[in-house]
Amino acid sequence: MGGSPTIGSIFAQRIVVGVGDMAVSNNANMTISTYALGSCIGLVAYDPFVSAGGILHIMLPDSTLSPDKAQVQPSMFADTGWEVFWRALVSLRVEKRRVKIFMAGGASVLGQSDMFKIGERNAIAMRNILQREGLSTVAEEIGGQNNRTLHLQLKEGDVEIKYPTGTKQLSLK
Amino acid sequence: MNFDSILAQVKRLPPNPQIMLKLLRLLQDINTNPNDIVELIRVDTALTAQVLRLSNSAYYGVVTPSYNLEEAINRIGFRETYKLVGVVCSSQIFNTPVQTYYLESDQLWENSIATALVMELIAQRIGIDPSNAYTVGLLHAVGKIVINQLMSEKYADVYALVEKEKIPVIDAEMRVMGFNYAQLGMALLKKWNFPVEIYEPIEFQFSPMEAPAQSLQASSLHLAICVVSGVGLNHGRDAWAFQARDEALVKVGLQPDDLERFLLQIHERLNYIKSLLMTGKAKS
Repeated sequence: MGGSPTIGSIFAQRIVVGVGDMAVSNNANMTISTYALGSCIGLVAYDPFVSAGGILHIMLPDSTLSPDKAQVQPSMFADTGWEVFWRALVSLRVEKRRVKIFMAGGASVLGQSDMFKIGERNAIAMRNILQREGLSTVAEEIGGQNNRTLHLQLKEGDVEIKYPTGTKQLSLK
Repeated sequence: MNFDSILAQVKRLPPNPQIMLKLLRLLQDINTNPNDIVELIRVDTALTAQVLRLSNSAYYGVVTPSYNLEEAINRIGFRETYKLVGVVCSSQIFNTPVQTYYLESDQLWENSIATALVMELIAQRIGIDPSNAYTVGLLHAVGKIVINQLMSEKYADVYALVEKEKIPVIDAEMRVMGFNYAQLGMALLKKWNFPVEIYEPIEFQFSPMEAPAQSLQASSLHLAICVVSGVGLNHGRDAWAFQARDEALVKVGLQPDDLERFLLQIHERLNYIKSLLMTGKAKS
């Protein structure tokens, strides 16, 4: 029947992850989204075996800047953010040997200035953490001069990366 | 460059926020009678309604809403009142899609309010006039609205140049059009009789050390633009295609860590910004 809604579309749900926040899920009808990643990093993790995953949206590389803030909002920083994100993923039976990781964001200004390299520092911090954990990314969309928006669809592990001028697709299955 | 002749080509200039200029003068005059501020706002019925609505928002911890302008202004104070008037005026200017820069409705408005709030934080930190700083932040991108009216077709060449040569948008605009949005913003504010403390930092927002008299304000604006970008509120195509100037940090006397702390502070006010946008939009 043309125009009839599908079962999936009736039950479709969305979680929006704000700056310094994270969300995980194993609900196949769920899409997790995060908007306007500038110098922030969006870390997308997906385990195809259990169809579970999530997005972590960190703003700063290191929680030593503000331990108090890290206590109330650990997802703000790469180090404390990873800890809470991974713990939440493990609770959905995500395992290191299967998890696929994608990283996006880290936009940066032009030129050689050291003053405002937060994007690069965020990306380096996140990569160091992944390396320490024995993990690596399957793909990255890092740097450049544009903001990005991410959507992770949990049913198939499809990721949509939106730029002001277009969209890219990636599968984490 | 004759900016007046360029502005003359624009069919619909953004609405002139004269009330902000008048209020700013009253705020900065120690002899101002508080009633003058109330009366100035009361003249504009729509503005009065908006100020009342915003001043009754949850942010101000209101238990019993006030529908009396004088009472509302006394409760939140003149500086907060000025900021709310700024929110209303900026909604009339910026709450529109700006296709040339790939900005959806709300995005430039959100960016303007966030920049104004960061400017206020920086001003309080370094001891410059916070209301001036707020105004500079709020109006820093008004030139984008003018360029959007002027030349959508030619603008594709600007992006092509940015992509090809990896140069700032502002420089590519100069090469393609002979002027840029910072200059047009300056020209418009000058035409509207805003003082040099407001229009000069806006003209030199990306080259603050070149500002003849307002390099401290211009440097503050430059840093505010960086901070707002870092929290994800600098939207649009090639929004990061600008150069961060180390000299601005030195001029203002801040450390790189301070910028990161501003990021955290402004992040804490994101919900406030969203609620302002929602409350402001409900009536506009």
